[in-house]
Amino acid sequence: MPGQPEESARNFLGFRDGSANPNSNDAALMDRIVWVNPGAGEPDWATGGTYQAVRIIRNFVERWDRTPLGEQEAIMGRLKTTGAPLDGAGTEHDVPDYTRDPAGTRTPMDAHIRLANPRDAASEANLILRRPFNYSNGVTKSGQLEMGLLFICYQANLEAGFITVQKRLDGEPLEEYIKPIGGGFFFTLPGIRDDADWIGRSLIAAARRT
Amino acid sequence: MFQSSRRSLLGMIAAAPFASVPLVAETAFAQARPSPLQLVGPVAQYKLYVNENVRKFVADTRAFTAAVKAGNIALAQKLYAPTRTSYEKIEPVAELFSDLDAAIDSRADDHEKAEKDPRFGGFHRIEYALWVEKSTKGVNRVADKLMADVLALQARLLKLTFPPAKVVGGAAVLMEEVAATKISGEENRYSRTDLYDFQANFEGAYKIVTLLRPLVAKRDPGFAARTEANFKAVFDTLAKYRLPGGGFASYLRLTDRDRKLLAGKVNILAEDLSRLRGMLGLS
Repeated sequence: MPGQPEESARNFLGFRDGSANPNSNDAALMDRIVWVNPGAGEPDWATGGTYQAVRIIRNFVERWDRTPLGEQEAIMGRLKTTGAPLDGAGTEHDVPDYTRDPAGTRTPMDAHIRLANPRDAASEANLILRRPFNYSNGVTKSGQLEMGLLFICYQANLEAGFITVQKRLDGEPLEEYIKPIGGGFFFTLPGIRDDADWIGRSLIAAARRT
Repeated sequence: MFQSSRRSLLGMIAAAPFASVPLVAETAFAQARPSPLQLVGPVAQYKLYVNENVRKFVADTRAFTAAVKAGNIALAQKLYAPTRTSYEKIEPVAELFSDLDAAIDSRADDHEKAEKDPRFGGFHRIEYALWVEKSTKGVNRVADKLMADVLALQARLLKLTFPPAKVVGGAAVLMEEVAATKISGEENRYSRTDLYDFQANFEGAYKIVTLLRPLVAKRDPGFAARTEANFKAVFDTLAKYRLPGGGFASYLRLTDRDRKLLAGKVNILAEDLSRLRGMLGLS
């Protein structure tokens, strides 16, 4: 619909994925969350680049699909139909208000979205930009579907971003339904600025100086 | 078998006069819907079952870790699989404590550096020492930690109020785990003692089904007979691999045909048992 943000695609757990992503059209926000800034303690050639965290996360889809809807939604912290947070009945873009639910009555304390982003002042420093893809890769040794999420996220600082979020998620109920089977940390070089620029220019220049 | 009976039931409903269908369905539903209070008895009985198993688990782990620390590889190998069975029976509640479950029962591939990862501990690290390294030199501290974790599990389980949804859902959880990550023989990959775990997982699920049977019979009379037949099929299949002196043959002896039969039945059971929560008003 015109004037409304796009709907997020669904992952293989049937839920919308990426609902609370920071707005990538907001340059100031991207400067803070995604891009390595001068003075961040990184080498000069890294300025304007970003850290990429990748995880291949298998979904146990058979088991998930046999789990009651209410339990799925409590595990995620969102309604499956609309993607709206559990404390509202609107759209996936509504922002949950955990200050009004300190005991986790509406959104359980260990719900995926609540652990990933508790939406307090401190967790503002841990925002990440997600760009996930679904993958499907035949069947496993056990004869079940080998499918899931190729999780990708970008952040200026890996420790503050993905690693901190992942530590908060450690032990979440969703773990019974997923299994990370691969991935890694990468550095994405700064983009090309004009006709005279090329990918890796700052890195190669730095290497030549040494 | 289950698929075809469900299809014929659907056929019957479709063939019935339209107006009468919701009326019949609602009446049956209202009569049979169990009140939450009806679960108090089965959950309390399940707690007794768990306490009994965790007590045995502590005693068996004590003997197992003592053998490991004494460097008695033959004895430790003999005790390994039987010790695990009390844990495998109560896995749905044991794994509510995900930190202890990871410490006690994680596999090498759960760790970044696999077998060489210093955080790889618990049963499977000792299994690796006993069958692959053939030495207990590197696992004395792992054995101490395992014993401490098992005692911690007992303490936490004794204090735990069992969530009815976890108990009822536990029957399906056990089947799901066998279906997703056990039937291929990846759990006990060094000792090949997987059939002990299968038996224990099936027994743990069967216990929950047995406790709930009176409640379920009112909701779905066909359910009990169908799951009974499927449980019988998996127990009978495993029984072919029982050894005369007790215990089970190596996973490597399991024929392709029996593995496929087990996988099929386990998936049907997982599908059927996943409906227990909904049937008992816990979804």
